[in-house]
Amino acid sequence: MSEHVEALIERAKSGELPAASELLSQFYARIFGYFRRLCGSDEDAADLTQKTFCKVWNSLARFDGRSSFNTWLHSIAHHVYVDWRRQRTRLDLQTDDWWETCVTDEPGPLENITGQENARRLYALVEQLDEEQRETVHLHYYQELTIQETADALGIATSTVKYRVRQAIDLLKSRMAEPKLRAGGIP
Amino acid sequence: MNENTIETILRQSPRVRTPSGLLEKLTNDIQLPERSATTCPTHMETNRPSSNGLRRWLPALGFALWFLGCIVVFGIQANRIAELREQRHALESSKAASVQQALAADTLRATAEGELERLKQELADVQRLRAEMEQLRADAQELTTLKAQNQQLHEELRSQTAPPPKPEEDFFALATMRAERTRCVNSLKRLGLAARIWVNDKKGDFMPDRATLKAALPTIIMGRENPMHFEESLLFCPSDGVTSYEIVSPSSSEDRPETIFSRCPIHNIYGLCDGSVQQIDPKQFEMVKKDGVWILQKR
Repeated sequence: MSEHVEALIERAKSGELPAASELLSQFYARIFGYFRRLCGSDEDAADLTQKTFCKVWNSLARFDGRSSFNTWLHSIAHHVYVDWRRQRTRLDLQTDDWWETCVTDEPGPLENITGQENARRLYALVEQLDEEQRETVHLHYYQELTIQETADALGIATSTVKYRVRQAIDLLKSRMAEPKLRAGGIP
Repeated sequence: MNENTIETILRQSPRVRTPSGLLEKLTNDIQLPERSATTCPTHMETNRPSSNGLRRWLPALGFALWFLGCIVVFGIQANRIAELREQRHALESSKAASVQQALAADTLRATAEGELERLKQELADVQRLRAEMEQLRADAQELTTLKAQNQQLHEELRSQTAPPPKPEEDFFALATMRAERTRCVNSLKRLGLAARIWVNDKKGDFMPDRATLKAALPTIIMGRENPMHFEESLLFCPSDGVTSYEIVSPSSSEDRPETIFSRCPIHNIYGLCDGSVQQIDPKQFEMVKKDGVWILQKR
């Protein structure tokens, strides 16, 4: 955690609104992206982001710095998402079209057609993983948390995170090796 | 596609565009804690430990309360169980006593019922005996009546019919007696003849006993060819068929022909050793033993 963020946190703890606004502007996009990828809806992602930062401001005084602010923030976001998922009768998953749009719109290293096709397929397969593996992949790869940070955010052991990541990669690898037109999900 | 490629693609996932206006909305929603903490740091420092301490000890206090509650409930239940056990013991003892009383009552009732049954039986026997006695009395009375009637009828019959003839006047009875006596004489003659034939054959004395006579008679009388046709009725008086002739002087000799060999006790007919048969009057003759043999002698 950078000293600048630490200073912002301390100032926000003391009630300085500008410091809180700066913290918000630094982290809200990551949290919104996290929710958007998991929920599949801009509205739901915005609502969950709002709830997450409400909890952040309410419990900011209890943040003691034992973990990074990013990890603590993702931990709160994870619990908000779990609560939201429990209240949902159905889990909306991202479609290939959404990922296709994202991949197409975003510039990146996948410039050739085959690479983009594989990326779209891989992202779609990630959404077909079971919930624990999916959340772990989202936090570790998409949100770029380390293994330790992912374990802290999920409240599990690092060995469990490693095991889930290994399982997910193996499954994705095997699914990617299968023919493209396969309709079913990952068992 | 290898694992490194997969991880690279995952790490380079596309960024998500944030909707416009979200940052402003979130900024407006910021609600930070009151600055009172900064204005009054000493108050916060003094209050926070007590609040934290209470919060820290809250689970332990809750557990302690729960444990105390459990102990109280356990004590109440133990007392209740003890009371129920005492009640159960009391009920069991009372039940055992009642069972014993019931058994004693059953035994007494069974004895009384047996006695009653026996008395009923005896009463029934007494009543039956009384009825039989009444019946017998009636029968006796009726018998007396019948006897009287019978007597009366006898008298009437006697007065109406003639008196039966006296035996000595009855012709048929006399003829029958005479014929039986004749047959008796004949039988004794045949016995005497058979004895004499036996004496001649044996060159000795008369038969020593009745069994020898009985054994010798079939061969002597019926011949050696068909002794089986011998009728043993020859040894009995024909008047009744059951009175056997007496062998008066067994093993007597021919040297004394007056010796009585056989006798019919019914007709007083005597067969002598000389083969003759004498029908005597008992008032005039009697049978006496003389020189070891029985003979007839005048009175």
